[in-house]
Amino acid sequence: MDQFILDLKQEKFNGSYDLAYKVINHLRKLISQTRWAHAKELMGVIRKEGKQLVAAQPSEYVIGNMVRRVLKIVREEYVRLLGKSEEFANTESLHKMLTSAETEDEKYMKSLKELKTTVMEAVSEYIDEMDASIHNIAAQAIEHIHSNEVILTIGKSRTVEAFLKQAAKKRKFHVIVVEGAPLYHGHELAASLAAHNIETTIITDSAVFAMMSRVNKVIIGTHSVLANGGLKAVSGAHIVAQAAYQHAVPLIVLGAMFKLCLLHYSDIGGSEATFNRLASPHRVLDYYKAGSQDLCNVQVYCPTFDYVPPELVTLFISNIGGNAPSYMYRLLSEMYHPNDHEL
Amino acid sequence: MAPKKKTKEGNLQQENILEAVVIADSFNVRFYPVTAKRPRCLFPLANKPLLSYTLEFLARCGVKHIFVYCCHCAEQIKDYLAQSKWSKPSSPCQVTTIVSCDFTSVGDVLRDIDQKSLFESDFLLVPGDVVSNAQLKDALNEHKVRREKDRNIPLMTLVLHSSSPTHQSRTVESDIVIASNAVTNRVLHYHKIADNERKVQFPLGIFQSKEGRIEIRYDLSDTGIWVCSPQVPQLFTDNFDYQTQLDFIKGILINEEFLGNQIHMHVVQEHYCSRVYNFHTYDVVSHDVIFRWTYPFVPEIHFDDDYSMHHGANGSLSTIGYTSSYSLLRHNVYLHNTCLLGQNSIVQDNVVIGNGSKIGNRCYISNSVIGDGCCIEDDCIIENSYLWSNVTVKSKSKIHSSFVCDDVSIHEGVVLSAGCILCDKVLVGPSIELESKIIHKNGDDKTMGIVADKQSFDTSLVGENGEGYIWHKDVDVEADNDRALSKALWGLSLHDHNKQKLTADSSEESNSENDISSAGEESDFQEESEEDAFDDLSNFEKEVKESLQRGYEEKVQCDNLVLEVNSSKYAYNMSMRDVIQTIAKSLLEIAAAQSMDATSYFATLKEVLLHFLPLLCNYNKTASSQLDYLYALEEYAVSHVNFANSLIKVFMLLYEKDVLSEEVILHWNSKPGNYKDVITSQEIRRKVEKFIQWLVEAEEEDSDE
Repeated sequence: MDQFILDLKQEKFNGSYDLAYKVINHLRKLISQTRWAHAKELMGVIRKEGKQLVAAQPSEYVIGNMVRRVLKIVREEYVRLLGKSEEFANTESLHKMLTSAETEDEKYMKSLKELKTTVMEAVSEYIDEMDASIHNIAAQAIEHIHSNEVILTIGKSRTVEAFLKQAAKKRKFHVIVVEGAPLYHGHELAASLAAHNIETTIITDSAVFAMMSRVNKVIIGTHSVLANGGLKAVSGAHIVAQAAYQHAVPLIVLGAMFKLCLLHYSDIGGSEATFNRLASPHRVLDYYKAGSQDLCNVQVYCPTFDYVPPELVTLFISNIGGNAPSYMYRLLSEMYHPNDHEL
Repeated sequence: MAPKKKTKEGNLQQENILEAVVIADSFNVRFYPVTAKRPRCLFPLANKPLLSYTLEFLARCGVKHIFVYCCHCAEQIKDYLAQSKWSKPSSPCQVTTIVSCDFTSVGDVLRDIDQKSLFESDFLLVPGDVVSNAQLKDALNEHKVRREKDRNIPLMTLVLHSSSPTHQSRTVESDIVIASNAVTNRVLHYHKIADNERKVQFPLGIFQSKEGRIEIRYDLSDTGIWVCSPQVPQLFTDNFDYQTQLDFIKGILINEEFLGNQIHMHVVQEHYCSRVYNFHTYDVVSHDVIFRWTYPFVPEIHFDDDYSMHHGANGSLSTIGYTSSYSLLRHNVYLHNTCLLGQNSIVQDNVVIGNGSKIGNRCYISNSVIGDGCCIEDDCIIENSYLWSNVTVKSKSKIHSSFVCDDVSIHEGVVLSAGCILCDKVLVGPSIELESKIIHKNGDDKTMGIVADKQSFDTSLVGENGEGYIWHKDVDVEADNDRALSKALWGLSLHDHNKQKLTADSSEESNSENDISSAGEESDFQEESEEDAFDDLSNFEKEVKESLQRGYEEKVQCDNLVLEVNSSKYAYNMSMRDVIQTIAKSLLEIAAAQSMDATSYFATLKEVLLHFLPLLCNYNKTASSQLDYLYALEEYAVSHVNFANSLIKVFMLLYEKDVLSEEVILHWNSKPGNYKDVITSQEIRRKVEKFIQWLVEAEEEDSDE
């Protein structure tokens, strides 16, 4: 168990999809291996573990999302086994609170034999859904990319890569990749696309505005989507979004549903530590030079993420279809139970 | 014995388990007197113990079993490890502490490893003060591949870090030049540059090998990390004289031909890797942590979970332990959740403020680390400084470039500047200015008396309410033998040092005589001999005096004595001048010891001098040596009135016996020395006036004829 927390701290995961997959598998193991009498106790166990996982990598919101999602599954299954409608589990009306026979303490306290198996099944189902998410997103490519369009993207996102490759099966189009200094993941994406016979151009980050006038669509991936529809995306995404807005180019964001999180930008605005990840500056400036006499007083920063405000985002494409950023609140209320917002 | 069994079982189960030895002792006193009661590896670096960085680094490299060797303040290290996460079942690796107070060097530790035969496969040897985020996977793989290719010949891999020659993290102590094979990374020559060394010589042989390109690199600094094969501890046992890592590397490289062992190197380029081995590097590494070069080992990432010195409630640890308690603000400001900032206080760039610290109103803090539980009152200015835990700073104090340890109290209006070091529990102030002072309060210090009562503190130095003593580096005999280093105790990088050296050299030409004439290992002997020059002189004096005394008592032939003195001279590498002065002094002392009272003094002295006449003649052949002899007599005379009174007779005797020539005596007379004790040089001149007059007259007569 603790090996997993250590792995999280050491960033032993490959992108947010891999992370989500690892977290949910970890939680599945937890459900099957720990002893618990009833749903409430199980939820307590998941919460406790969830807190530790979140604290291990506070900037990875996917972890919290997975924990909340599993809690929601437990609630749903419990209610379903009691034979009530799903609606019942979700809504919390004043009338119901007053008329309900069981108090808050008694809720989820009944021990149900089948709960473990049904929860395990539901979690496995959800994992299958996640497995298919990239494929589901890519399947929508044809609807969005048309022939001879010029598409701009930044950095490297697996979802975007699959999306473009899927579209390339039917259509011919041109991709401009922004390299994304100082990590230069854009280079990897460009190489991969070119190998797939897609016409690809790579440009520097500073050339984004100049190139934007000939771009038809901007398609980017994201690290996570905030509750207001804003994005936490690779650094440089904000410039791209601003340039696209200026040239009235639509900005399409690709991301599976598990990237959708409950945080508002204002919640984290004060603390850069949890929102951004300031990595070691060695990619910006070599320590070999940076410590030398002339440069030792220069401060070097290497932020990993950018916040892109929701008004710059045109469309959010997830595995369940396309939505406007303003609709995020609704998706969130369907995915997570309001009582789990605070872990 | 227990750890030994465990490892062996471990090795049987899993062949590839990676193990490491952390040497949690530096075996030097660079940080003294701060280290008097606290080991270096528990120094807080950005409010986390230094050792936790090292252990975390090793755990990140996939090390499964760490042996921590402790010596100085071993109990504290053990306690720390016992309550840290490393001894919990959840710990990513097993940590075993090995305590012994008998170790005096790294060599002893390795000999102990050999004795216990801890390792059967390759292991890492790491000093307990490394801060790094490097992955040693490459170094380990390279080492493994080499070992598989040539069994036993590649002995170990040095892990080095590349940094430009003017890099801040380089200091005089780690100034090295390495010659290596560019293809195989084999180290051919490793030379640590001594302080005043201008030339480095490489053995010609390394350029004559046909193995490909040779690189000579001055952009490397030693991280102290070794990837060792199991033979390394054995070699330490075979060679009792190996004390430091440097001894070992030199020994292996010199004996390479007939032992057949080779040393390779691995250069860490992308990642951060530094050591904290003196105040300057503490400063640099602290800054690097704050500047996030050590990412992910930065204050707001909670890697050192459960350890905090001032957490009382242990029940809450399970929840608090995993929440990151520092938050990062713009410009590298790290504030603990529980710290309080007063109104209008400005926290500028690069600051860490620890758990429960309170900052008053209108303070200004920049480039500093403030520990846990500190209390800083209104209108203080703190810049480029390090405050450890529970420091109290009263209002209107200014702290610049200083180092303040645990539980120090600083009263109103104190100004600390330019590298002050206040050790644990010191009190200073009020209203006093301190510059470059080291103040300590070691109650058990023998020279200071056992009870630290208030009367014994020098209030003019530490303030009216002050408690503490100024610490002088010279007091510490076995301490930093290199004078220049103690000067560079605080805030001098290699670059600064070189600059300073250049200006010093231009005014002082004598230094340039110290050219190093032969290959590396000899130059180091020279370095040592300079350090010990003072000791050598006194030993030499003692030896010469003993042989002369014996010679006088047993009436030994002077020729034999000359031989004895000469051999001592070569043994201690003394100059002729030292020899002459020593002989002069010794003879006079022998005479003084023999004679009973003032009246018989000259008689005895005459007897002694006559006995040693051949010896004196032998050493005083040239004018310059005669002059040296005269000054030596003069030096002795100023402190011994008895001798001064009979000096004229002594001169007469020596002149008659042709030990001294008249030109030299006249020359001596015209240039009085600056000796001053009971009587001055001038008075000495007056005492021999008659003799001089007589000499001058005799000369005139000669010229008349």
